[in-house]
Amino acid sequence: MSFSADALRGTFLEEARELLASMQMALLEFAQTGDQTETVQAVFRAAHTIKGSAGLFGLNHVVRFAHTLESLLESLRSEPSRLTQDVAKTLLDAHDELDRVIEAMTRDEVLEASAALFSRLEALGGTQAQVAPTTQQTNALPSRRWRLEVQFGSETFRDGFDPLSFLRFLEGLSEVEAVETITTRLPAQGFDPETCFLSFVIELKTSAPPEKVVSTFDFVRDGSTIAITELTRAPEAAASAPTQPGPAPTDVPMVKVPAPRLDVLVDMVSELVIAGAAAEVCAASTRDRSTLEAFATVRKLVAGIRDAALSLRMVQIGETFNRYRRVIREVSAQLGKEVEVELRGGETELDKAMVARLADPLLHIVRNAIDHGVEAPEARVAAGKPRAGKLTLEAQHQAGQVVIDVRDDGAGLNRARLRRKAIERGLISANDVLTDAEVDELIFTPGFSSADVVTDISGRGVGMDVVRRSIDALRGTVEVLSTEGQGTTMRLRLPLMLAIIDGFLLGVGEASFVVPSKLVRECLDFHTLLESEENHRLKLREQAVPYVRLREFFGLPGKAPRRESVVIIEYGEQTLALVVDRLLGVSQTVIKPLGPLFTQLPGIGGTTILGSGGVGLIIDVPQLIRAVSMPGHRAATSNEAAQRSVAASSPHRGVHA
Amino acid sequence: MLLSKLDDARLVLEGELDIYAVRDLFAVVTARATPPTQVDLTNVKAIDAAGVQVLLWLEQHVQQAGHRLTVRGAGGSVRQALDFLRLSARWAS
Repeated sequence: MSFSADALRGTFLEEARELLASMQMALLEFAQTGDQTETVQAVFRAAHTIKGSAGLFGLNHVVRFAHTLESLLESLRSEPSRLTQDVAKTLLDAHDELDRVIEAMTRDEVLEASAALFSRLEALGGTQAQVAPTTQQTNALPSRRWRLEVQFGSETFRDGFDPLSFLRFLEGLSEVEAVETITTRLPAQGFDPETCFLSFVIELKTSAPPEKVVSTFDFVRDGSTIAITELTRAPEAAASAPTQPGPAPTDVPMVKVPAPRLDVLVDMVSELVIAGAAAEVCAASTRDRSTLEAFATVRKLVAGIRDAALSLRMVQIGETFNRYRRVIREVSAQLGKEVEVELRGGETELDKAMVARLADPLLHIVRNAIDHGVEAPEARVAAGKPRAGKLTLEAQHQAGQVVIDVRDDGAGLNRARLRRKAIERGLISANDVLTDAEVDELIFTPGFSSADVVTDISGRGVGMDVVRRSIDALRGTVEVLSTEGQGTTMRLRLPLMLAIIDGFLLGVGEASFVVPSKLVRECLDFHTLLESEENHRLKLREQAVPYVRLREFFGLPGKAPRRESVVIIEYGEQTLALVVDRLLGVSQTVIKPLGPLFTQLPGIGGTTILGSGGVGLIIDVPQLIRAVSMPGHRAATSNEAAQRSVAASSPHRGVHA
Repeated sequence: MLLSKLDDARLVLEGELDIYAVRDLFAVVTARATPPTQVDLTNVKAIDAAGVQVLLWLEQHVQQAGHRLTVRGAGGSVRQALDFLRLSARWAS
C-alpha cells in the first residue's frame, strides 16, 4: 500500500480539526469552570501538537502562528492565574484564526494568519518564531526512549491535582509505550482514600529534551519524586536486563479509516443481506434439511457481519453537543440572556450519518430554546429564578432508540397565546376544545411562529415544522413537553441505524409490509380482541387500543381473509394495532430510499427488496401513528398511489406496471 | 456526585468517581465484612486518579481474601483512563 501526500495531509487536517475542537471546548468550558491550570494545559497541548505535526508537513505558515500561540501558553503555564476571561477571549480568537488558516488548506490556499492577531498574542507574552523549523530540522531530531518514574506526593489530591491529567499530558509530547501503576505504597491498614499513594513507571519515546518531559510535572514538583533515565537503544540489551516482564500491551490500537470506505462496506453488507435472504428462499423450496441447516448458520454469520459493519460507523454524540456550547454562548450574548449549559450522555453512540443529519435540526431547537424558552435575566429574577437560565442537552439509549432531550428551565409554552395565534391563522376555530398536548403540538404547524417579536435568531416562521420534517426523514420523532413557568423539553427519538433493521414482515393481499421488529410487542388474533368496529378500538387486557386495517388505510384491493391477524406496535408511549391478512415473520431488511412512486404515500418510509424478489413497503410507524390519530387524515390517503405500489411490489411487477 | 449500590459481591456505581466521592465510597465498601469483587462502571461518567486509587485499593483488598477483582462497563473517558493506565485488561472479566 502506498501513501500519497494527499492522504497524509488528510490525516493532518483531521487531527488538527480534532485538536482545534478540544482547544475550543477547553476555552468555552473555562468560561464556566474558571479552572485556569486545566485550561492552560489543554490549550497548550492542542497548540503544541498542531505545531509539531504542521512542522512535519513543512506547513511553515501554520507553524509560525501555532508557535506564537504556544509560546504565549508556555508563559501562562508558569503563571496560570494570568488566564483571565479576556485572555481566554484572545485565545478563542486565535483558535478561530488557526482554524481559518487550516481550513484554507482544503482549498489549497496558503493563508497567513492576520498580523493583528500576532500582535495581540505578543502583547500578552507570545513570541514569534526566530527561524521557522523545516521538515529536515524536525526530522533530524532523533527520538530517544526514556524511563520516567513519578512518585506523587501524598497531598497531590488534596491540593486539587489529578495525576492522571499530568500523565496523559505526556501523550501530547511523546509516544507513551508502557505505563505501570505502582501500588506498593498503598497501606494494608488505615488507607485514606484522599491521600495519594500512587507511583507510575512510564516508558516513552520522544525527540523532546528530558527536562521538557520532566517539566510536565512542574505543578506537583513539591512533595513528588520524579526521575528520568534513558533506556538503552539496543533492544537486546534491554531484554537481558534483569527486570520483570513489562506490563502487557493492553492499550487498544486505533486505525483511522476514510468514511467512504466504511460506506462501501456497509453497502456491500446490505447487498449480502438481500442476496442471503433470496438464497434462503431458494433453499427453503428444496426442503432439504442439511441445506436449511447450512443456511441457518450463514444467516447467523451474516447478521453478525451486519452488526459489526454498522458498529464501525457508530460515533459518540458528545462532539456534536460540544459544538453547540459556542453557539449557545453567542446566541445568548446576542439576546442579552444568561445561559448555563449542561451536557449529559455525550458518550451515547449513534450512526455517523445520523449525527451529520441531526446537526441542523438540533441547532435550531437549541436556538429556539434560548430565544423563546429562557427568559431575560430580569424576568427570571422577577419570577424567583436564578438569573442564568439552564439548558440541558441529554442523550441516552432507550429500547433500541436514541432519545435526545433539549431542556430549558424557562417560561414554558404560553398556551393561551398559542391558541390565540392558531385561531387568528384559522388553524383551529374558537370553539375547538384542545388538550394541553394538542395546543403544544401547534408549534409544529407549518408557518406557525409564536414569538412576540420576530428576532434575528428564530421566529421567522420557518421553525419547528422544518425540524419535524428533518427528524421525520430520519425515521424519528420530535415531541414537546412543557410546563408553564418551569420550562420546555424538546424530545427527539431516533433509530440507532439508518441502513438496516430487523424487520417484521406482514402480508396484506399481494402486498408485503415491514415494521421494525423492535417495535412489535405482540401478535394476536384480531377477532377475539375486537371491541368496536365503529371507533376502531381493540380491547387488550382491559385497555382500549386504536387499530388500523392496512388494507383500508392504503386502499388495497381484495377481500380480507376470515381470520385476520393483528400486530401490536409500541412507539414511545403510544400503542397502535395493525390489522393484516398474514404474519410472515422476521427478516433482515435493508432500507432503500423511496422511489418517486412512493413519496406521496403517507405512512410509508422506505422500501426493501424481499428474499422473493418482491418489494416490501416499510411502514413509517411514527408517521402512521400521527396519521391515524388525526381524525381528518384517516383513509384520506392517495389510494391510487397505494394501488400502484402494490402492483409494483408483487413478484411479477413487470407484468402489472 | 457518585451513587453507589452494593449488593453481595457487586458494586454498581453511577456518576463521577473522583476525589469528591472517594471518602464516601470507601466508607460504603468498608462497612461490609467482605469486599465486593465486581465493580460496574457502566454509568460512571468520569474518573480521576483518586478514583482509580480506590479501585486499586479494592483490588488489593479482594486479592488478600483470595479473589480477583473484575471491573466492567467502563466507557468513554473512563475507558480511556483505564486503557492508558493499562488496567482495562487486568480487570477484565
